[in-house]
Amino acid sequence: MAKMVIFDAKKCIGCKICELICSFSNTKEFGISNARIRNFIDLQEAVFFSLTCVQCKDPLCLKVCPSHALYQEDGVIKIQSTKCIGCKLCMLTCPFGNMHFDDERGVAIKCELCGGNPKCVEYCPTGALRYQEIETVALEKQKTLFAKLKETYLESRAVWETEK
Amino acid sequence: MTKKEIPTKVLEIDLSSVKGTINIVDRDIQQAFIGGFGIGVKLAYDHIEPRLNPFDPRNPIIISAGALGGTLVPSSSRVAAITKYPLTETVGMGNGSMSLSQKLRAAGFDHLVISGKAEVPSVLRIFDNKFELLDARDLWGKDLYETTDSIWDRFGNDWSVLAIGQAGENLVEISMALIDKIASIGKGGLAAVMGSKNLKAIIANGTHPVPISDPDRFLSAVDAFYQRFKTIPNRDEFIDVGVYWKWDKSMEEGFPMRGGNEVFSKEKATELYGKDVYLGKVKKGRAGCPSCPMPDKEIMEVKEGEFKGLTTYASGFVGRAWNYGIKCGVGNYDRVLKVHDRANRLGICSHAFSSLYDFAVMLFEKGRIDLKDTEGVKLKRDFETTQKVMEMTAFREGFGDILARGYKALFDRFGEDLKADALQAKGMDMLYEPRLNRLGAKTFIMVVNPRGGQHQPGTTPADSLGRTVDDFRAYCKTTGVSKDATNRIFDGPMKVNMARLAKHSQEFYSIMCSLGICSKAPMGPLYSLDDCAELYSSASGVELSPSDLKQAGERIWNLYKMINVREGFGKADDQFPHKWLIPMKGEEGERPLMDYFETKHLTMEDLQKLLGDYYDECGWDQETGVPTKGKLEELGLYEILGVENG
Repeated sequence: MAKMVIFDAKKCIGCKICELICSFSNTKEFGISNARIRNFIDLQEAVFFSLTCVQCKDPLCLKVCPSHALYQEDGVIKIQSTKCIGCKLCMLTCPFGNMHFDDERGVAIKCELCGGNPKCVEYCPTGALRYQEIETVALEKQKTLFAKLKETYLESRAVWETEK
Repeated sequence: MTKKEIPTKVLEIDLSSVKGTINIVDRDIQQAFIGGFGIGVKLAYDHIEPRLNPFDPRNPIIISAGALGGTLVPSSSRVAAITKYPLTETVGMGNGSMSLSQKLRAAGFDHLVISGKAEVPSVLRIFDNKFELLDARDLWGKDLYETTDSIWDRFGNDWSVLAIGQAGENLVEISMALIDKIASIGKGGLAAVMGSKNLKAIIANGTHPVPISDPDRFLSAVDAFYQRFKTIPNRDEFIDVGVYWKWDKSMEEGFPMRGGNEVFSKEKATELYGKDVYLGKVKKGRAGCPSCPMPDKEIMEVKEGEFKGLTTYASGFVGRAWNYGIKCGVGNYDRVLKVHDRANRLGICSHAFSSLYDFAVMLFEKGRIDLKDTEGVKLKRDFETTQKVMEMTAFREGFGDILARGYKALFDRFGEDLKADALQAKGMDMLYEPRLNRLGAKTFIMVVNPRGGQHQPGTTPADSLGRTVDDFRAYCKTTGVSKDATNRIFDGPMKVNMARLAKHSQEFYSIMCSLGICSKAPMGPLYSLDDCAELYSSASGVELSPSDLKQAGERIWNLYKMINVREGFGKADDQFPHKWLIPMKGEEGERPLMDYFETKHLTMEDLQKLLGDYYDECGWDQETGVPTKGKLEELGLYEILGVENG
């Protein structure tokens, strides 16, 4: 099972370090428009969200690309920039808005997971970003749910036992 | 191959003619003044005509992004606002954060010099190498939050917004501006200077990437710092509770009340405003400035009662609890938030207002101010009166018109002798109290700071109680204090001479503000002079060694001082409050003024001796408190500024 960048809204403080390191590790300068991960803020509600490519199993961006610039390698969707014709169809098609565009080079850009060591995860100061297999996350959630259900079950079992 | 040097760009805007020019800062100037605050001071020297009325359209507002703004350097979002401030009539530097520095650099600029006066209320919009003035007559009269929300609704909340409220429009001298609704900047009337220019807001955004001269070297320097950052104990706790991680320490020091005559009850402070109250009833979330991994910005919400649903913002709830709960006696946390919210909306500085109001109530209680003076308003420390007087201040009605002009107006109106009872310097309230946290560099510097009673340039280990002599030695080492200076600092009966230390902390503060790095704990104290030199040199391509940087810090502070000497300030303005000499009354007995290590009770003679030590350490004249020609020459200022010695 491939790993993915997983975001925990409870831990995010909106510091934008994910955007900054992403931009820098890809372009050697700091430009938010070059970042493959974007952080959104609702100050009033104190909600911060970082969004990046979820590496779809059956990616629409790849399907729509007329120049076959997009390809999959070990579950990661990548771009061969030399093939990209800058038509932006991938951006229009991605249901999550996770494809971006480098105006200067005239090519689409996206998260390619930094060769298996996503910098946004490495630099995230609060642990809001993790790089994990989704099954691990699902399992953690199930374990949390199990703990809650267990409590309820034990309480109700105690009642049954008394009623017996 | 020559190294890529990153140019520093200045946009000069005349609001009257709506014309602008773009200049590149000379390399020599960049080397001499670093960036951010440093180059801002140089621009102030060039652009602020001496002895101007702060509300003269010719008085410019200089906004300076730190040299590392918009990068990954942790906590590098500080931005400086330099102008002649109306409250103190000093040329001062206000310092704020959130996204302004990042967005200014993304728009392609490092500094703005804004002069003139817009024909109608306007918003100055800076975007991708350009600026425009937008008609903002519809925003005039709106509060600061409404203004910011309205701009975000129109342009998107990825724009940085530095806005003012009604207090700024009405030229209230204890006004301030807020960046992105949450970071205050320009205590002492930046908002009023903006108001005098018909400037409701400055907004910025852009698509320019911030370039780095030597990316690999730069990243190594950032990584080395990150490793150190990860060693901060209780890092997660700070992220969760902010300044409450030192609540016990704050309690040890205590909160002054009743004009600085008494200490608030510790038990009551914990019951009303302690960590449990914060976590259970106040906290909605915590926000980091761009690049800051240890946020101190609070999003606060009243969760029950009359003001249920009220959401407001601050850098720390503790300070607001002290301002309104303790000094103004407004009551529980929900009322503190209600009053603070209103102050933010009006664009009034919470620290300045609460100190001034507390002082005014004390004068009222003593009979120095009477009902005739206040036009029938009985001044007292409660929720209703505090709110009422705040409104009167923002709209300059009746007695509020005096408070709007600060301590100096109170002294003018009710007697110069009141100075002896006031905790202020050059007309600005003093945030810290040496009778509680002992005379450290932070409390000392409020007296000598050219801007007025502002403490940040005195940031050292003495900021909290309980530090050892070795902590101070380590501080001197990491901030590049020479061996001789170190010997002078540690030579004396008080173990550490805080006045001499303050000379060096103000220089390190100048460097940090020039880079745009936050000086506040827990991040600021992690930075060393070597870090600063490596980060700056690799980012800018202008190679500065640690000692070059240390000297630049001294040069910046000396020019900052000289600009204020040009304004007419001198030794007579570096006055210690007499009140410091009267012990504060507390539950555990009296709290007299003592040195940091509590070796003795300090007298005015001791304080004057320390003032002399400070001037001596600075290389300034003992009689006048002004930098000597020899010092200015040593710093190369005559040559750099192209003026003749003398």
